[in-house]
Amino acid sequence: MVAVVLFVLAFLVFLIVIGCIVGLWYMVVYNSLQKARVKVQEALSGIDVALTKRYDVLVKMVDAVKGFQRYEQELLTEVIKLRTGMSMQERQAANEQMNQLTEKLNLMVENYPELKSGNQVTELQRAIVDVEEHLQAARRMYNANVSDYNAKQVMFPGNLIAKKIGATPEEFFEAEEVKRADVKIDI
Amino acid sequence: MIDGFVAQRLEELRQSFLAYKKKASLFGKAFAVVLLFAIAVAVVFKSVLNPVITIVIGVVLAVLADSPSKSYNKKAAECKAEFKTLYKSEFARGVLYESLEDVEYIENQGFSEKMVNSFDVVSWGNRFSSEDYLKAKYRGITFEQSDVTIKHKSKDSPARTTFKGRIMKFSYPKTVKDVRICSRKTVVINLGSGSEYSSKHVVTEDVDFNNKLDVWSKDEQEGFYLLTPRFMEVLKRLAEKYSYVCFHFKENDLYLALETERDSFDCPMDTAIQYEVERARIEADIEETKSIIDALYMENYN
Repeated sequence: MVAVVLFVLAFLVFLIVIGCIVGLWYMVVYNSLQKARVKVQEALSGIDVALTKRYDVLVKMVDAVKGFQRYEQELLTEVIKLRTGMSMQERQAANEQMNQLTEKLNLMVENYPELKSGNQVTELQRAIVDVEEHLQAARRMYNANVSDYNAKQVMFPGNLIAKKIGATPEEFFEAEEVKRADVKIDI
Repeated sequence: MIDGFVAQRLEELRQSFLAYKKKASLFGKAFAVVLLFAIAVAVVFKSVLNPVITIVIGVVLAVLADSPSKSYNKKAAECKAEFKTLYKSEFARGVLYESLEDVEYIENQGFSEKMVNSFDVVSWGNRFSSEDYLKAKYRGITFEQSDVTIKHKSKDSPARTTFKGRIMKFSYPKTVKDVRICSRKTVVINLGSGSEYSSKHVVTEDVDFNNKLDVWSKDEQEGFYLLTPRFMEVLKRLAEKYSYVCFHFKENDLYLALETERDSFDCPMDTAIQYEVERARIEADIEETKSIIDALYMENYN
């Protein structure tokens, strides 16, 4: 009788210990997933900040050259619209539009050298390069965090918990389609 | 190339140094031989001679035999010091002037201990020395560098070298809060202020880079901002070449430590000086600095 009681007690203690270990494991993996998700969100806000900065500098650049080509300013204000809560595709589209505008502005500065006579345009060109570098950094950081978060969701043991808590893979900030296409050279 | 008279003088100093070292070694051995002989005589002839008096006489003779050794060591050190000064001022300086602009080179001065401590790029010790201060310009970028040796000596053990190499300082045109990039194996070394514990560990997309180097930054995005692909390639190359490398970006300054495990502008004295080889070695060190500046695109900002 005593032996049976002891056996039952030992079994209960064993179950409690196993339960604690499983609970601890679940907590660690859950927190790891949540931390990775928060890092992705933080990185995404970094992209939004960089896109906004880029937009602001481009607006100043367009103002500086507006006497030369009026329609470019219209293009900027009507087509490129940044807002909160944009999807990844919308962000990529806005970024690509800003890429195209930057190319046109640089071409304009080359075609109208008098634009460079004042310091403003040169400073703005430098500022554009700087914000683009910051955007690249934000993009790389975001993609690195997304890669880590997505990997945690498909690898053991994260995959066991990811579905239960509703975690889904995040999208990468892709390279622009234009830059990924093969370069065509006409000779 | 070097002046003939200077080359001749350097060779004379080198030969004298080697000769003095040889004599010092010889007389150093004489001390041990005389002492052992005295003990042997005292033991063998103990029935005839007083052993204590014999050993005392032996010790006195041994000390007298050793004193020329100390004198020759002192002369060798004087030859070495003169050789170093002449080599650096007449040969190394010339190579620097040919390769860089606005050169200011002071062979017997370097960064102060307090200054190196403030750079926060090397672990600390209680023995510090610095020499070969160089300030120069390359493509509009001014930099300063100095050879630094740091050792740690505790009561019960001999001095251990914790860092021997070059430390450099640049003005950096981009403003950065605080980013530190160090060789992987130095992660556990306390870098003085312990500031890395309030920084975030930046993991890049390059697995090879992450295996070789650690990046700590107050702002994670700043780490990526600095780590352009070109700069990352330079960092990986430096991490493979040197046992320790550390870049510390802070505000508008960049501090850099490269553990070269040698002095930058010293010349070995045990063999005849090969000036072309030494020139190539100094130029290679300068090219290293230039490649770091190029990789960071500093010239674009001047």
